[in-house]
Amino acid sequence: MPRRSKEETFRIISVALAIVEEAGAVPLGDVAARVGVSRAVLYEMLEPVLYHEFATTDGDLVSKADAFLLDEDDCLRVTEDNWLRSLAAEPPAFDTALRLFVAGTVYRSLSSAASPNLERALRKLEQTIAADVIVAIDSPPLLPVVETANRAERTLLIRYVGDRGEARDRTIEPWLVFSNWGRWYVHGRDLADGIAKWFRVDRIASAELGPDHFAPPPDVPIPDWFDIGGEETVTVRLPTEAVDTLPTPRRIDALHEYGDGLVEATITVNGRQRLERLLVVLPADAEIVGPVECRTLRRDHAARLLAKYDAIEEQTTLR
Amino acid sequence: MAADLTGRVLGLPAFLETRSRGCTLADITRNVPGYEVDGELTPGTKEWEKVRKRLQRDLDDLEAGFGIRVEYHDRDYVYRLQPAFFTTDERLALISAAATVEVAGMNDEPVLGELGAAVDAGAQRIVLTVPGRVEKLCGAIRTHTSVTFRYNLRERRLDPYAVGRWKTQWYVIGREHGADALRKFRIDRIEVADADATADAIEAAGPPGAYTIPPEFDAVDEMRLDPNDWGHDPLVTTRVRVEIDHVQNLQYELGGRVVARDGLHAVVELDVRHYQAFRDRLLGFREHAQVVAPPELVAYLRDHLAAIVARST
Repeated sequence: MPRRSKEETFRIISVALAIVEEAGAVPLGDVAARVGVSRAVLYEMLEPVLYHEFATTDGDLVSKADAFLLDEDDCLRVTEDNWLRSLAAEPPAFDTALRLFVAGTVYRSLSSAASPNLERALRKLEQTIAADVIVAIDSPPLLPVVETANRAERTLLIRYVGDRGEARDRTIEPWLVFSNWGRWYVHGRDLADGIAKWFRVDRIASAELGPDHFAPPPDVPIPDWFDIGGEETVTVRLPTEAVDTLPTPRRIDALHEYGDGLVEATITVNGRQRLERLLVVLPADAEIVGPVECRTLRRDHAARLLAKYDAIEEQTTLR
Repeated sequence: MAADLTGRVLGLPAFLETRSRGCTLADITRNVPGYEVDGELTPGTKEWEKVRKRLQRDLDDLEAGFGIRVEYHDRDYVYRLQPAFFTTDERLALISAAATVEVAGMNDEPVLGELGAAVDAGAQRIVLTVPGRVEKLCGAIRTHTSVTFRYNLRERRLDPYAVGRWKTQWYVIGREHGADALRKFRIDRIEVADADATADAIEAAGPPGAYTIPPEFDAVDEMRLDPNDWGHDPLVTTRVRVEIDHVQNLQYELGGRVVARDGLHAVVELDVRHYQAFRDRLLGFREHAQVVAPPELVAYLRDHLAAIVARST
């Protein structure tokens, strides 16, 4: 077996202790596997840390023996303080500082209580990054109710507005509440049909705790992407500056200069509703290049919306 | 042997932590296991120099392995622990944040041992993507390096001042060369100039330190990206009639307050400073929300829709 350098040994000790500090109690064998050594080798490396204690000539005891514990189940844990990390004077590297700053800032924006420790840590990271990074995450008004139901494992009675804008009352088991792509979602079983579904929290019109308890499945991961299918693509000719104001989510597949301040953009959105919205949000003089049926779709949707205004005006006039 | 070395090296910070004023080399030889010498250590002797060099090697290892820094103070002839970068509580607060928020998309994956890299990813419930472009722009801001990129089919040269996220998108703000005002760019719309999709869309242009960020620049203020905050149209107080099931969502998207309500509809009142952005966002509510006041904004909506219908007929 090759002899390890002291640098490598110290790195392994440092990483092993960081793992248990951040992940809680971890079997020593698992920690060893993550740092790439056997359990026996890791134990040998950690021994001077686990039982670090000596007496000075004045008779004082310098002891760090309570900091870490290898328990009877062979799990390694931090019991007091990862004192080696607590004495580290090095600031984190730039990418780590940026990652922590973003995580900390988002975490702060969602916490109702102030955390002076987090504030101080963020100020230090800000100095390390030395760049203004403004980040926050919106939380829909009903998120606290949804989260309460999730934590209490209670059913949730919601009125939910679907893609078409129609609202329905549902009872769901909120298994997982998470945020991704700038939106909050709740995933859980809809008791009406027993099928697990995804719901956007900002589309919940009302929510209240239900009477029943549930047991969530053991592992519900955050999805990488919702494969909802139904991509719709349209090519339009519009002023260059209008590209910046196209609604999201959408994908620009191609953008070509057309001359006279116009561009031809090929845009893809998910679903017919988003396509209709895109078509009426375009400048009125934007030209639909294709497919040609989008011209009809655009006109019909605009006419439907216009009719609503006519109806309101009619009601007002009649009064 | 390895255990002896580890014990000796770690004995240094453990002992120094108890000596806030620092300690001499002689203190260390008397108190830290592994540094014992026979008799008293006399400065300037060979033995003294040998122990001093070994201590320096150990201190270098301590810094390289654990980030713990000990400095020698010439004036007082003492070694002192340098202050920690984070306190324990600050570090734990950041670990809690990292355990909740996954920061995805950056060029460099977190490496085990870095703060927050070993949290249980399965328990994270917020995913926030920081594209590599954001990381690159932050690096440019940090060093005050101008950048070039292609945006809306034009080459741009920008002195970036800040990056920020609004709703679902990241933006960069800075001074564009050739323009006399601050400009904002949506980072995902920066185009890859080369046909090679792997090419960098943002390039450093010129040396670091090429510009200074004006002291009056306020990143938070400039990153108010809601058009209703920064729009330049004359301010109007607007009323929107919205179906009751869509009130929450409308207020979430546009703000405002409910000023009237019946069983089927509510009226939400809000200030509008950017008519087009307001119109486009309102149209996202399809048939479920209409602006009902003031008349000029109603006409603005109606005229737009009527123009589309007329053009397509």
